[in-house]
Amino acid sequence: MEFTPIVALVIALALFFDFTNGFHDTANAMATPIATGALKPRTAVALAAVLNLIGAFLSTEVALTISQGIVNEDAASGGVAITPEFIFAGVLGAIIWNMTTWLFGLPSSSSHALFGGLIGAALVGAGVGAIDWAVLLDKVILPALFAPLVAGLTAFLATRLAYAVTRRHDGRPDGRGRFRVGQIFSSSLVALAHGTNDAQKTMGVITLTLVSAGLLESSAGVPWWVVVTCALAIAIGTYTGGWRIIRTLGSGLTAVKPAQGFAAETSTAVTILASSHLGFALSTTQVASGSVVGSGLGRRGSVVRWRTAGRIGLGWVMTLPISAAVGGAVALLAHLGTVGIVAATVVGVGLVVAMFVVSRRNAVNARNAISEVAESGHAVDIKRRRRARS
Amino acid sequence: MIDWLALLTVLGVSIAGALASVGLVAVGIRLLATPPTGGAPGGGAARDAEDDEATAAGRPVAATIGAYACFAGFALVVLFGIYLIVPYFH
Repeated sequence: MEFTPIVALVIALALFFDFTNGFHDTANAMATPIATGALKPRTAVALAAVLNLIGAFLSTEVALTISQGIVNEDAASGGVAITPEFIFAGVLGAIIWNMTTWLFGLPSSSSHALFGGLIGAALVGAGVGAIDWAVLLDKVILPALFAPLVAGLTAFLATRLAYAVTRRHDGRPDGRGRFRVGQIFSSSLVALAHGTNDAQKTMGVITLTLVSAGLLESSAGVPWWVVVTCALAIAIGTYTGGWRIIRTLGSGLTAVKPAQGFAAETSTAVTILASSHLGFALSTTQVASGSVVGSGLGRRGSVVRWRTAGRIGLGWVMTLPISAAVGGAVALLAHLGTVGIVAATVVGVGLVVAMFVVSRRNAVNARNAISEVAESGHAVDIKRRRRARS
Repeated sequence: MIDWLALLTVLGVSIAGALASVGLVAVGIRLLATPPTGGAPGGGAARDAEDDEATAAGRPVAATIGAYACFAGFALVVLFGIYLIVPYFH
């Protein structure tokens, strides 16, 4: 086998998926420190990008199964044959869903989008028997229910504790602004953990593509250039900043104050580390969203906007079916041969460009992602300028 | 089947870990906000929206030392977190 155009196409798409994965998940680590002003927006995304880059190089074990047992990847026993076309369909489905949720500012799991795309492609390629529904329930659906509950309860209790300890009943200054310093550390841990987990996914996808095309022995490790490109793609994506999602997590669900933000982010970090080391994997995005809601419930006088939380929940429910539908549709087109693959690529790229164009109509960026901070920042600037003149 | 034991372990460890980490920092910050003894109490009720800065003026030395001990404890927690994240260490 040689380096065919379809292999190059799949690698390009996988790297773009990695990029969307990066900007989709910046918010998990950096929405609350940006919201409280612990870090300036640009500084926050730069820090997250560097930590994701480092994290990506730290991830040593790349699993050569991208669906983690959800899709039977053994064609001999009724599963789907892993071909570049199959991976193409799965990854394209995931990209379309990631772009859609970003457009609506919804935090959603990139892993679940990828699983969805692969499931759709497998259903088309090999039928219902190719999916292990029990594994799907255990590894995706139930954890998705538990992640926000576990993180929400943890963050609720942590927020209660933070405020109870620092509360001053005599009305003197409580110094809670200092929690901002702590936020930087807890957010950095989340960003680093994200880099070690998520860049690995794309490395697995690309390596599997190379193996399936016969360009790499299945026993071979991940080629160095795959590690480097995946690390760069996720870091650049992170730096781009999914500002729409940062706005949702940082101010859309609830107004985040320093002590609350610190409690939420620490809960996210601890829950992710506990889940990944104690054998019950939870999605970073769902943990982070749950933490923000929990911390909002924990602070006296704060309001949780349940409508926004409901929209996010709806997004999670729709992640698998829609990315599966797109993945399946792409797999159908791919069956037509080169013409189908070209058509799917053109439509896919067209959709991505269209969503980008639509997003420009009400662009959300570093300046306006968290409006309160931006406005107060301006106020401070004006005061300083006046002081300097007088 | 779902591993209920693993789920409950994760829940317990998450809560314990988060409360310990947040507790350390919260106690440290509370200690930094210790007023001079015998000062006049301020007015107003306890509010959770405020994030005003406490100054070091008149703070007992013991409170400052205790606060930094708490922050050092949190630093150890962060280092342990990095240890858990980096696969090279285990």
